[in-house]
Amino acid sequence: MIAAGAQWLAPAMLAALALALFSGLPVAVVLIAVGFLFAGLGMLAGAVKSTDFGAIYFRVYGALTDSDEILYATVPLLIFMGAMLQKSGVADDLLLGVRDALRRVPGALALAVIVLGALLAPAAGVVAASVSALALIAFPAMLRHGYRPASAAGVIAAAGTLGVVVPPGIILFFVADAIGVQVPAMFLGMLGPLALLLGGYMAFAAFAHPPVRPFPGDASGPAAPVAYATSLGRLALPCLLLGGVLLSVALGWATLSESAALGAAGAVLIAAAQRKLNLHNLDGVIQHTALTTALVFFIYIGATVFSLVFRLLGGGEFVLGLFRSLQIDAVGVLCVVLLVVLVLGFFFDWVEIVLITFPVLRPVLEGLDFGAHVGAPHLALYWAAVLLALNLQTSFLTPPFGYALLLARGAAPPEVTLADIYRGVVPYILIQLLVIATVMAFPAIATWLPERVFDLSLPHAGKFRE
Amino acid sequence: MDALARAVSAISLFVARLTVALMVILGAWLVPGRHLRVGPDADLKEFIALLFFALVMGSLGLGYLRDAHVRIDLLSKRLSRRARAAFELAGCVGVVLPLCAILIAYGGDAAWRSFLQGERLAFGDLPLQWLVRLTLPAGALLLLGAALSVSARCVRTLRAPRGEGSSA
Repeated sequence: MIAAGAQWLAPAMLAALALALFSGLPVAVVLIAVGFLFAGLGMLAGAVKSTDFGAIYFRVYGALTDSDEILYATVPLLIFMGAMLQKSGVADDLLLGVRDALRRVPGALALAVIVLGALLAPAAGVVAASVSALALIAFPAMLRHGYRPASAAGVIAAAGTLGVVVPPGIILFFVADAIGVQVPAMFLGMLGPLALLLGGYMAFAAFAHPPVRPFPGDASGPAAPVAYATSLGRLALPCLLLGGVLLSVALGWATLSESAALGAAGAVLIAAAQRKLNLHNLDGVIQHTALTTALVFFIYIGATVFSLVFRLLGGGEFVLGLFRSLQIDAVGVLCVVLLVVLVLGFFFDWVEIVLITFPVLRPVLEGLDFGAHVGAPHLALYWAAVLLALNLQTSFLTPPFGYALLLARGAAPPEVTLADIYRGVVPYILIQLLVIATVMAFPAIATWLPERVFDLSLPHAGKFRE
Repeated sequence: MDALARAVSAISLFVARLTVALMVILGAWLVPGRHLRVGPDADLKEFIALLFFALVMGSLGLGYLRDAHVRIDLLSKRLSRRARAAFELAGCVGVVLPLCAILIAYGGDAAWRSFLQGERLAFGDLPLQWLVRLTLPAGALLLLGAALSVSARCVRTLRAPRGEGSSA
């Protein structure tokens, strides 16, 4: 029960956070600052005790060292795997490999960009990095081969955000953790919607292709079998690696962290086999892993402080009450939640949205009764988590603020305007919306596979116990 | 303060290189090791969890020093360098330093009690759990060092004549 006079503190805390985030200070620092400020106000109002500050230490220590599971240890291993594939130049080879393998297929370069965006998912811890990397690699080649600026920009921006929804990316990992569903099941649950999404992307990319121009050195006729073999060889190892990580968890051969470690070690071996491994690269990958891990977990610590104080001030009840006061049915509430996430995605990166907003929205989602629609009550959260991930990706693509678009502009040649990018991305947004609507109408697309492989009825509190 | 920044960087990078390398090697060994029945699987998992904890706590300061943390600078990038330095200084002194103080005080106390009680590790049965508990205040100490170094950089920017000074 919240002390009288302290009830305004929870909404004021949300408002203060929304304003303070724009101060330009690190997001983690802002979260902690707002937490401290309102803890102080809560003490004055009698809702918080000074001893509650000790809970900050126990929460941080407890979450990061829980001896029953090593869930979070998976995160740096996935980051390492993606960074090794990217920094060792294997990613550049992949683009060329896909392009060469598809050289006679209409829209080969666009398809290559889509496949590369999907394969680099584990490296997409920061959407900014994957969009910029894809834009730098692909824009010049696409324009040279006759793609209109809008077509090239659309596919690059869309493919750059695939990391949000392609397993085993770390974004899905945190979405699952924040919503309270099993991480490996979430990975499998994304495969159905992902097949629809990639199918839509690829069909459009092939349909909207420019007149096929021969690639350099390709004017004399069909490619030699050796060249095809080389292209497929470039592709095979990274595809096997990422597929192996996913399959090893799905088939029960390895736990999530074990498969991530195998993936990380495999990425080192691939880089070595392709003579791309040296000490400089290895050290760069380790530093990238450390800095990205620090980035994510500093916000995690900030979110821990914020959510502790928010809960002490009755924030959970406030958010639930807010949604109840709308007096709309479960579908309406879900649509409002998706809309909130869509708008937040215009301004914030995934890490802020997932670590700060999702835990606040989780009780709302848990309270919705979708049992009849999805087949069983325990499947509803999995379905909602998949929808949230798809929605998060869409928000990064949606004009005018979708920041994958701004990043694509930043890395594009001068002749590509922001208007080109807005025009080019529209078909991909329509595909996104179509997939979201399809998954909403047919939840089995997201729940059928994980339900066959895992026991989803097991209770868990946002942790995947190994 | 530059020496402090160098020291924080050196310690953080040493911890990162050691922990990431060990996490990859030992983590990749878990599956074949289990099939070959070499060594206790659970102990190795516990150890990897501790490596992860050390990596997180060891990297926070490095991330702060290298400005690797997420910022929403839509509005702040329009501010002058001095105004941004003033904001940054307020964040360091008003938020990061108190957070470090809480983590060091509570974490140090927990490590000391663990040492006095001879608390044993979850693996290996050695009375060294205090080392694990010490990781959190040690990481907070590195973050404190980074925050002091960034604060000094901000003070230099604020003290510099207008139009000069290093960036915050």
